[in-house]
Amino acid sequence: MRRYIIQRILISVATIFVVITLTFFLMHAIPGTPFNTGNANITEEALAAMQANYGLDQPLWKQYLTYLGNILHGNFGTSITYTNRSVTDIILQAFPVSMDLGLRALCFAVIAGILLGVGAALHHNKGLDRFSSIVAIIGISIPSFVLGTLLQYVFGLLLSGWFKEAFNTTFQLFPISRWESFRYTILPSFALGLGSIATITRLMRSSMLDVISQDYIKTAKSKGISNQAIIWKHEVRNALMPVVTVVGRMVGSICTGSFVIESLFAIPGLGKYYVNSVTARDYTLTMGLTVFYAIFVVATTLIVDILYCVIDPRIRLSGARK
Amino acid sequence: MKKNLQKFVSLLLAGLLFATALTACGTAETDTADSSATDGEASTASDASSEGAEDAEGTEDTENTSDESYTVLNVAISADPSSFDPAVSLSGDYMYIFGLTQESLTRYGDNQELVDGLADEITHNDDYTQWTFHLRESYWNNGDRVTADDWVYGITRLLDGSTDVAYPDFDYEIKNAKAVYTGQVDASELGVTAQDEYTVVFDLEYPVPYFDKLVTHCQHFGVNRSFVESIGGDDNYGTSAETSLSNGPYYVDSWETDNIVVLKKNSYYWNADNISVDQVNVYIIPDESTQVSMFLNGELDIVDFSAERLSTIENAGYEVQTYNNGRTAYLYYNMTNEYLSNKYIRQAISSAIDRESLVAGVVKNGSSVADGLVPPGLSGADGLTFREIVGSTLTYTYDSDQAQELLQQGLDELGIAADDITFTILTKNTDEFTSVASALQQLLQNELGIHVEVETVDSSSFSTKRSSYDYDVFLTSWGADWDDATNFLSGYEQTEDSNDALYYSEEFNEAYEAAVYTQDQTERIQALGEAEAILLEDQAITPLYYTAQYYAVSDRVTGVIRRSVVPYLDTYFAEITD
Repeated sequence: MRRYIIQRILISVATIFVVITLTFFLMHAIPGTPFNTGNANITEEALAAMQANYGLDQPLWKQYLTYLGNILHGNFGTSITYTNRSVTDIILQAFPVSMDLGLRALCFAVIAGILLGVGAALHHNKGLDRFSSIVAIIGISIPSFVLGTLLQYVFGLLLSGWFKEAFNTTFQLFPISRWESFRYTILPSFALGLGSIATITRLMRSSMLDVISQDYIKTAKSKGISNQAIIWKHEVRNALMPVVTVVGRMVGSICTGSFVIESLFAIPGLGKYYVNSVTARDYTLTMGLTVFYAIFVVATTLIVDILYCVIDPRIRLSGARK
Repeated sequence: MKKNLQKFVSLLLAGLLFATALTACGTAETDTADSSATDGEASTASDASSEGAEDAEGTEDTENTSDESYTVLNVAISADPSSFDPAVSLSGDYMYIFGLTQESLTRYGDNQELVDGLADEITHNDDYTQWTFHLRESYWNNGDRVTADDWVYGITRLLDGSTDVAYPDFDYEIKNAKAVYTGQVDASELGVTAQDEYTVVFDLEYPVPYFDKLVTHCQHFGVNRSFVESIGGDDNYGTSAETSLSNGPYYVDSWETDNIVVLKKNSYYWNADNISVDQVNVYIIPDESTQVSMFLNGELDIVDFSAERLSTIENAGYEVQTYNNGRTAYLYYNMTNEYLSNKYIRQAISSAIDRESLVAGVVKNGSSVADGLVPPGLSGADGLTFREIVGSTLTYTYDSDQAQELLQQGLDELGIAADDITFTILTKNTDEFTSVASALQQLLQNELGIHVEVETVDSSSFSTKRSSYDYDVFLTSWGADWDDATNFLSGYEQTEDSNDALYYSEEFNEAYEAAVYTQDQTERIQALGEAEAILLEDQAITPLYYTAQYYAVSDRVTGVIRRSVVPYLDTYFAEITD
């Protein structure tokens, strides 16, 4: 086990190094500079002064070595577009929000997805199964910006408007945007989670169907164990394995921030920084976020892999074999 | 099996009930949730900012229950200000906040006319090369009196290298400004001096009759020296609500990055008695459709929107308004291009473009056909706008036959056929420019039979290509930073040794220089109009349309001002009537 973990950590470090190198050179290969936005033409003296300030007047390989050195010291540098803010600062401020939103969406997706999946399997080819198929199709095929806008309209404007009228209050049931208290989080979590609900539902359903047809379920039934006990103790539990795999992978993608959902609902998360930093050629911010994402994804994958053998003792980790 | 279904449904219902219960709890704990979210975010979020958020939330939810007369205006901008240092922020969106938190020596009144700001007496010498501003009694929101030194310091810090500033040339009209910036002379030689404690004198490099308008721009704001020193220097100024200082009608009470900026009335401001709205919540909402939904829901009082949301706003019963936002969209040619360097070809292109259909069928945002380069919102002299004095200067308007003739003349000169001509229109990847460029491509191919390609890139690449002259022709728009036509025309004055790709004309330079040194204001505007006419006769650029912006204002708010120069939105005079 320990050997396996050490091996995996070493591979992770190598992965992150490759990511840093690739991103660094790709980023600098795109034409454009961070200092040329807005209306007026920047003066040459000002441009030179600013480039020198961020070390961008140095040859590329030198910048690369300096950057690697800085990262080893835990210094991600200062953002070029968000003046006076360090990249670490931005991550520390925006990531918790994205993580918060992501975990809510994930909780929601896991609970609803598993329930729907179980229901669909138990009512194979009946109403509930069809319903779950519809949810899955909607979840996969509707882009999140359409879904988000639709939710804002139906729940934020129509339903909340009706609620205000019916109870003669100014209380906004589902706020249209922003990130304040719990009720502000409902719509964005749902919008972000729906795609995952679909995946989890389909996976849970097929995995459930697979388990139901197993011999040990028949045995359990013939032993006269109650239906409930069979479903929850034997069927669901055994069917959960593939779902855990998928959910583990989802953490990485959902919790690092969604550009669309975050800008639609005006949530101060990490998603927009990544997209904006690339278009603004904010080299330090793009690099910092890429490294951060890489570390985050590599770490969650590692944790999921380790969790496997905790959940299912039958699975042996490759490095652990004697 | 049926029993299972029942169980399942009841489970779902129970879940729903649980969720509703949580929702209800959510309201009661709103305030605590707010502050914990803020505190967790960053070290910059101090007591003051979470307090502000609570206030904002409190007034939103318990509106009309506490203090009846306390009024709150809700506005949205699309990106976080990133700094409240006037040296750093330049984008139009933040200018709204600057317009309320910083007052310059002058400001714009409720009809784009210039009124006194912090200066109550403004004089200039006969040739407009020296301007003297006497300051009225007004205070920064920390209680310091506004003094002449604020401007000496505010301008000097932009030029002496103590702050990173992108556009020092905005101050180059001030004597020695360029020399100070490039390190040739000492900062003490700069043409900004405090004649006495409350009188500031600007000495200029050349006559600037519109200098009183120029000082409304944030590159000419005053900055409180002792405050900046007390917070540890330039790098900290404006980085948070606590390190910002205001001499305008409002101050920054709290600022949560990417979420909200709360502005509150500055009681130290000289005209505070005439500021009606007590608090302005500036929400940071990047998405236009979200802004529109919030507006329809009563969460915002003012919203800007594009043509596709026109019917939504109209159907909701709001009056759709439009204003000229002081921008002109145009084609800009590379003079080293083998085809486009030919004057007749450029004139043919201008004559081939049906601007009416372009505006009505493609742009569709209330924009109007351009008949010159300087947009109609910019003022001229004696209460007339520049366009009213000068009239139209674009002679090559849409005329199919004329386009053919001009094209033939150009082709004869070059000794080629129309089919040989091929060039690429470079533009930014915004919806508007992408569709306009594609329309032009079609239009020019149909009308003139020439080959046109379109290349759309992001704004950063666009700027780089532009400054390295890596284009045949580009499509862009230019907006006014100060309310004078020089803002649009000065850029075309090039010397013989500037890059070959740029338009260079003795004739234009002479006309422009003559205009700059003309003292009578109406004559000056006419002279600028002549310079503009030369530019458009040569078709150094091809103006397409004057851009406009749709907006709507909630019924409870009056006195919202939209202008053709920054700040495009001004709520100085806003009043809320419930």
